[in-house]
Amino acid sequence: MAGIGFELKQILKEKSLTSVLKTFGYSAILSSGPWVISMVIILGIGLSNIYLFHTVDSQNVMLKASVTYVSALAISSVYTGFFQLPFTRFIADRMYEKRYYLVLPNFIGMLIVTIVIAFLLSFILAIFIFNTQSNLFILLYITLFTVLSCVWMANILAASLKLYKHVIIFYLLGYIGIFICSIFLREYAIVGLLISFIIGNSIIFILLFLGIIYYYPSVHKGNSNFIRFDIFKGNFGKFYWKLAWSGVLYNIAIWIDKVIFWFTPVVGYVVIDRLHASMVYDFPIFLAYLSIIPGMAIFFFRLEVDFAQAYADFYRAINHHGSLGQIKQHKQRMIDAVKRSIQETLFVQGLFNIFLFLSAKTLFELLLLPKLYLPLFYVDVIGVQLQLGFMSILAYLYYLDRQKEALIYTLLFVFINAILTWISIQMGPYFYGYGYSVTLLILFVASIATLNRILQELDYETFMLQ
Amino acid sequence: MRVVLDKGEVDILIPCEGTYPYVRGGVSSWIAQLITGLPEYSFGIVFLGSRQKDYSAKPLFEFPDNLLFMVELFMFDDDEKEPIRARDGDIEDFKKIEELYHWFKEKKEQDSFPKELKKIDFYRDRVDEATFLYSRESWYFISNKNQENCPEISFLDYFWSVRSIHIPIWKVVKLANFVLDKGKIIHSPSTGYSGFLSALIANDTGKPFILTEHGIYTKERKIDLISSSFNLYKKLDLFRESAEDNYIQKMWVNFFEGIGKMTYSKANPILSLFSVAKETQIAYGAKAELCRVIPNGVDIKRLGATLKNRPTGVPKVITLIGRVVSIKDIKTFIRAIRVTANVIPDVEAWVVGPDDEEIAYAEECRDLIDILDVKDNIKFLGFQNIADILPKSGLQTLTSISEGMPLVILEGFAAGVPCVSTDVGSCKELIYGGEQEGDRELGKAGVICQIANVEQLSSAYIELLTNEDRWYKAQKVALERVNRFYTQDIFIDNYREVYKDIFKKIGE
Repeated sequence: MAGIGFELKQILKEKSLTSVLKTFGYSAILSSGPWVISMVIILGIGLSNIYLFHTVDSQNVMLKASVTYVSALAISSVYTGFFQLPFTRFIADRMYEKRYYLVLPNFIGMLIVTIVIAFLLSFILAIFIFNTQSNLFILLYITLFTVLSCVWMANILAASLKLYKHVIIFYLLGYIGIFICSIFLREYAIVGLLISFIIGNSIIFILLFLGIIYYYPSVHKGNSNFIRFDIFKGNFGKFYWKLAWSGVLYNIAIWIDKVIFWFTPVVGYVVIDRLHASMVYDFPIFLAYLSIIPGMAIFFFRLEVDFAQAYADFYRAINHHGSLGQIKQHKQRMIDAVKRSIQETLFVQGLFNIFLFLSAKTLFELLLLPKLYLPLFYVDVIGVQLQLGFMSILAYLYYLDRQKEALIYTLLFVFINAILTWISIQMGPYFYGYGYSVTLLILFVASIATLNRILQELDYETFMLQ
Repeated sequence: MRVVLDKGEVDILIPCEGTYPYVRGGVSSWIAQLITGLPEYSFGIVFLGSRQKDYSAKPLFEFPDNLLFMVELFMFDDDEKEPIRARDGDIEDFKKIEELYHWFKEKKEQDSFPKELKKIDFYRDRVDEATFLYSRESWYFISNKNQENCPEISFLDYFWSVRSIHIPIWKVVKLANFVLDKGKIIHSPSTGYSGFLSALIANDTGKPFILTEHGIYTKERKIDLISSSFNLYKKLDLFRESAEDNYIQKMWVNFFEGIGKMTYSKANPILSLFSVAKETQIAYGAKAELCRVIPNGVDIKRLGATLKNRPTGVPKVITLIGRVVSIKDIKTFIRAIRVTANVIPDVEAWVVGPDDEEIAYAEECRDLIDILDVKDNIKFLGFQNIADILPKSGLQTLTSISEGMPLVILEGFAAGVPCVSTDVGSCKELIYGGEQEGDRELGKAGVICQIANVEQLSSAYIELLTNEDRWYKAQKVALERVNRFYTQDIFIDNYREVYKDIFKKIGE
């Protein structure tokens, strides 16, 4: 027979096996969970101080310490936002390849980079911001900032390794530590509080670190290094720039409305050196964040249980030679899972909100907050609910590896939030809080439309656009 | 797509599908022979390959002076891939494609073939490659077709089969468009993709199109498909409905039959190497009045010169020239040698050809040699110069289960070696004589046996090696037959005539 004919068999064989999307899952937005816990607890410390010690002086110290702490929280979360998502994605990819032994050495490498940059960054920041404070204060600020940065990285890793229970327990222990230290170190005023924050966060960090070492040891014949920088060297594929920037932007976006309030003359005022706060804006919104917890719990449960399963089934149906009918059926199950998760999340959140609305007055009295804040609190509660919805959609976008869309939405979040917040300030006190809430309304609706389109076309894109 | 050579206008354009100049073998040598043998014409080559890495990096043939043009395209290479971008597509155009499917699936009559679809611009401007590959409309179309025809089969396999069937169409169209004004006549050495390319060009430009088929392409693809080497997913037998997973195979067969018919409908003349092949072409849809046989030829001078090196008498050596692969059925040869060695203990059997293509099969052959205890009789010689081997051989043999027109038989004849072969391809015509006048009257240049019939083969070996009269008679017939009908000069003259006729018709 003549030597004519193509290598069709070979080509067909290769196509069937490799060209279908890799499955991976990672919970990106999980970092927000502990962030909310911190918010709530710092509020708790503030309030309990107000309750326990009715002196103007101690309140003033408390406020200064809180604002300092919040600034370290905010800036370190924006900074580590750059590494969080690429790092979790990197880890998820390695886990998919079953190279568990690469987790720990790369985590240590990641920590080293995080610490070096955090140190330099906070050094410059501290000198710039706190121009009248003692060297001890500056040193403590640098330490706090660096420890917090490490906590974020350890936290996101522990969460993506699904050590949820541990994360929650460790946070509780850490904040109990802060609370106890703050009582014992009361006579050292602001310095004592800063030390308490450092101790508490160090506890969290150490516990998380131990947890990671315990569950993911690095001893393996495929690895001889204690420290690895694979993610920066691009040993396993390129660095995920889009994920990095969307992480930074998301963290900027959730702070930008507060920052605008702090630094707008009428509503913001100086607390300590160059740090500002906003009496009108801060308390209601931090209090409103409290309401996010039940909804978030429901959402992650649904994401982990329903959606992750449906997603895995969808790709399994494709890769394991399912018929088109089966593939479409699994796609529908995925869509149903998304629908149900958002419905239930918003429903639970809504119920909780109604409860909050009804009891808001009593709550405010209990917390000795001026009733003046009530309308703003209502608006913020709605905004927080919408933020939860938007966060859920973002989580799906990350899950479906739609990095471009996620980046665009986080970018929009920054700009719309900034612009609408500024407009709301111009429109007067009655509209405070609407900037944030309307931003999230717009983003939530738009991102639902995007997610819907993506899900509808998932089979088309999986097959045709590869 | 890359232009390898462009030294001016050419007379004859030859589309080569996975052959000359990157692959060795019958068709490639035939092309080389044709080009070198007809220096009065200039030639162009259009090479169609699957992926660059499937072929040798450098041409395996030296380009003759009258080869003036060559362009190559590797259809499945990544750099040939259209940039990926989502798009909508137009439902109307897919209706046209649906008509085409009907044609492929059902009768494949010429007049029912949608006219627009014969034209190059349909594929270039209406449903272009990117539309087919990336558009939403195309996705609906493919998934609807799947639901209509074979909703139960693995969609992944279905999808990739559909893509793999279609992608080459656009590549061929792209290439056809590029070489549209190259050459005055098209001469395709096969149907398949190069036949399709030629048919498109012939349809668009009205250029004459000659087809010479070596094997029967459509049949070979069918064998490929049925030998289950496609690695498609199959359910366990118990859960499978009988027709279920044949659908993909059927799709491929329909496709190759379809483009085969398109090619036959545009080609004139339709040439083959031997009369059995001609019959098969007619069965696959070629018009009988356009079909002719032009056999291959061998260089009788070079091989005839080796006659003087032959020892006196009949050497007790049986030579099989061919690769050690299952299609050549070397195992039957080994068994036949066992039987032969019982009668002629000092018989030698040489297998001349590479044994690295089917390593497992070659290993099995060696085991069989051990088991049958013919180690002293059988030698695997690897690749050898036949001009050295043939004078030392008493007989040449082929035990293949499939052949086209094996040149080795003719080469053996030219060197004065009779042949014992199984009844495949044109072997019978070569050994017992074909339809040409006076051919059969010459007599038998060896023996034809049934496929895998050890007894027939071995008794033929014994008869010819022990009966010198019979052997010398066969040698005489062999030499006469090759000199009268199968010389390279006759082969070249035949094609010179074909070309001359056609150039006369188009007024050049």
